Amino acid sequence: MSLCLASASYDVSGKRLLDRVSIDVPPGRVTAVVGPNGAGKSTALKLLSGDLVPCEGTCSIDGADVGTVSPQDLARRRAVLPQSSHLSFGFRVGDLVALGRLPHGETGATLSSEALISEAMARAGCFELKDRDYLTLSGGERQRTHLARTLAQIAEPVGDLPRYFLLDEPTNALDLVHQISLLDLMRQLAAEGVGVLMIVHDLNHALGYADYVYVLKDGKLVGEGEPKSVMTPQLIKFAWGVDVASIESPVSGVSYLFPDRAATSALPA
Amino acid sequence: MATHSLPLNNKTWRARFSTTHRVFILLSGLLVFSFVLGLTIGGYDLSFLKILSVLLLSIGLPGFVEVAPHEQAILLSIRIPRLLLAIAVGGALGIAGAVMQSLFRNPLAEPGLVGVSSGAALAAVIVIVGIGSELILFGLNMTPYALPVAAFIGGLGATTLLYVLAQRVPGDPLPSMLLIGIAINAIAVAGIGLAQFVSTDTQLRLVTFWMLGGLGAARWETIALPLLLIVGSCFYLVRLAQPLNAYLLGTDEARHLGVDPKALTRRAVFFVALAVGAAVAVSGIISFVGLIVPHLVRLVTGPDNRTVLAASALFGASFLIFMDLIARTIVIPAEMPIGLVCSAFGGPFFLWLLLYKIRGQRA
Repeated sequence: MSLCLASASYDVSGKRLLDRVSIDVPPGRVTAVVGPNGAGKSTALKLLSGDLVPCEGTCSIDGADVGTVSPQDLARRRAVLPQSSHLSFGFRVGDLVALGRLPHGETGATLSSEALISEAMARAGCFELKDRDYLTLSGGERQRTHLARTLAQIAEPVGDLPRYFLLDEPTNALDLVHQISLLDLMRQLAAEGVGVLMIVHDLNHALGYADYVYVLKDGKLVGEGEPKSVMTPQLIKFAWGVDVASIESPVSGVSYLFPDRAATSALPA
Repeated sequence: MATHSLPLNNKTWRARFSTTHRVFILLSGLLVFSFVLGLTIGGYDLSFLKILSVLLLSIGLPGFVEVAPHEQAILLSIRIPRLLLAIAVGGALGIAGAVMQSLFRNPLAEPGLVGVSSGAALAAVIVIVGIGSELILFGLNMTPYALPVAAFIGGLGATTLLYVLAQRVPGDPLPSMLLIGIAINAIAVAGIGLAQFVSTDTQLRLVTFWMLGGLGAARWETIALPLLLIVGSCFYLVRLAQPLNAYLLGTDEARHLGVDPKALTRRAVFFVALAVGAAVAVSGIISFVGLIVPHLVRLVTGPDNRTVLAASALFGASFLIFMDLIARTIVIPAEMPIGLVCSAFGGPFFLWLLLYKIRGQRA
């Protein structure tokens, strides 16, 4: 039971965007994907979500090939939060979040779906926006609205099947407070049995909140495992070409990374 | 009782319930009002009592007042079929416009984008110019049916061609549909122009009137089938409301929500073509309604298609009844083409509303 890519490759007009990459998203775990721009992170997420079909290798959900599962069936057990949405119609926030219940056949306002929708808005921190016009919202508020919509989509498990949540740079438009509450929420969802996969740019988000991390560079997997053992200054230097220093938090004992101009000399050659 | 306390506790639910329902009650009232107005007013005015009496007489009950046979005939054979046609055509154009605007994620989209109007027009012009005044098939006079049948087939044919061509383009078919639609429209316009070039003056006049639309041809036998097609299509299209809402978010987002974009496009385009094709076949080209009606509805209700689709059908129906009322009374005993009336009255009204709305938002 998991959502996984098995040595999947993806080519577009002769260029290999992803080269034999295997990524496993098991239920109950927060999995992070990191890597420099153009490393193939979004391509990997699009393969996992079924938007793209791998040219080689497979993508499967709970043992079934993703391509063979109907869009509605897929939508009942996995939600996708895109980097940004281009909606130019002024929906009421509450109605937009209610769209998340569409794959469950709940197209009108029923009471059970209303409760799930309200809870999703509360968890995403946008309940107070529920009567606002989407077009009047700020970037961060829009992102929280879509977060609530996708949370509502997988608010309840359907049958015995696990749920999956794929997020593409979810913290991008969010301020510090909302970044932290989103990441905390991902931990909660994992504790509830959801398989979470998020693409993150802030390496410390992966260090602080992920159980497992995949590092991509030029379409290839260059590291995977527990974040603190994988994301060493050496690997960061190799993948990003940036010198970072590691510093241990005196409170939690977690080691965080930060770019440091003086770090070059500190790295062992 | 538990059933009582359940729904009414939730304030949001109740607020939305009442807003949507208020809109529908208002629009239904408007439709009934315009229908009654359409029954009484015309080249020959009929009082409300006379109308009631005719209706009572027709179901075998005694009427309130004396009704002459020709008055009965005006009402039952001319006005009622014409009003029903106005409702069907207006409803079809309204809902089709709303669906196309959602599908193309563009508030400027209108039903003609899928080529149905220009395809129908080309076929109609070919029939008018090519076949001439009479068509006898198997010893039967088919003249009144040739034009609508040809227009219907032409409209659906153009849409099918457009859809098939768009499928050959890899990726999202909608942007290519837009461009292919422009190409097909251009080709059809060229064909129409060519036919007009070789036509006689009488034929040219017929073509011009057909292209400006009119509900004058409404008889029970000519409207029955189009009515059936339109009502069926509208009921189907209303059910696409929530998938179309999802589609407004983007193609990928819609798929993530379980909507198959290709299937949705296919269904929406097919039933729009069916409804608009049937409407165009019997009424000619009535422009502007499909664009303006969903706009006006959205200004009041917001963009949620769960309200917009049905409300556009209802409002389109009343709108076209009013426009037809103007078309058939403004130059008695002649008739103004309804397409002309829609543009002449609808255009300035729309403009006023937009400006007023913008000023209201700024204030």
